[in-house]
Amino acid sequence: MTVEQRIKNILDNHPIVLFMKGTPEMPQCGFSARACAVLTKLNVPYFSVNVLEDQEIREGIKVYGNWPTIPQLYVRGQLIGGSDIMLEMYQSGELQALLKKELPSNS
Amino acid sequence: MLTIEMKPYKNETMNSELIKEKILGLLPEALVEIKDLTGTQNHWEVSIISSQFEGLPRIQRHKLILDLFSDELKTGIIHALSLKLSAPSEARKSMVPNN
Repeated sequence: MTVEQRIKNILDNHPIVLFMKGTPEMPQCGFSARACAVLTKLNVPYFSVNVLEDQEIREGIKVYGNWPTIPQLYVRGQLIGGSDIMLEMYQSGELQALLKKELPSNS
Repeated sequence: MLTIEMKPYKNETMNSELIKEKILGLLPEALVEIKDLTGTQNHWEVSIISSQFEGLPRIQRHKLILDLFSDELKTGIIHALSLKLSAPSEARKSMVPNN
């Protein structure tokens, strides 16, 4: 399976995917930690991929969405952006609106 | 048309002048503010106000600037590049100094 198919597989099976350095419990980079914090604050379930443990995906994801840095947030297969954009969208409320469908029904 | 001949990077790090030069090469009228986040000249925060961003979705703005530094990002000369990109009409809100 090519790295592109691997990525597509992940995106097809999870509505919200965060490609990051480390894990939500142990982020290995400030920007990845910030991205996790935003999603945790929104109480949104997400699937994280630790690119530090998968060199093929680490490089492949940059080509896949033509975005050269990590972390990267994908929602329903669409690249949203890195931690800067996530923060901007969180502050403007756009991220909440975008993720509303994914939020647990009680919130 | 003035073409900026890309000088090979003698030293391994960028400095804010080089970053500003590259941005102004693409967005001559832009207001550019550059912060070295860690003092190691490879973690940068760059704020840009440019009329070119007017009406451009966030992800396109970021891609425009990230493409400009794709070599430096690939080689790791720039390890982290945090971007605050706004159009003049939005600038008043986002450029309020926080210190």
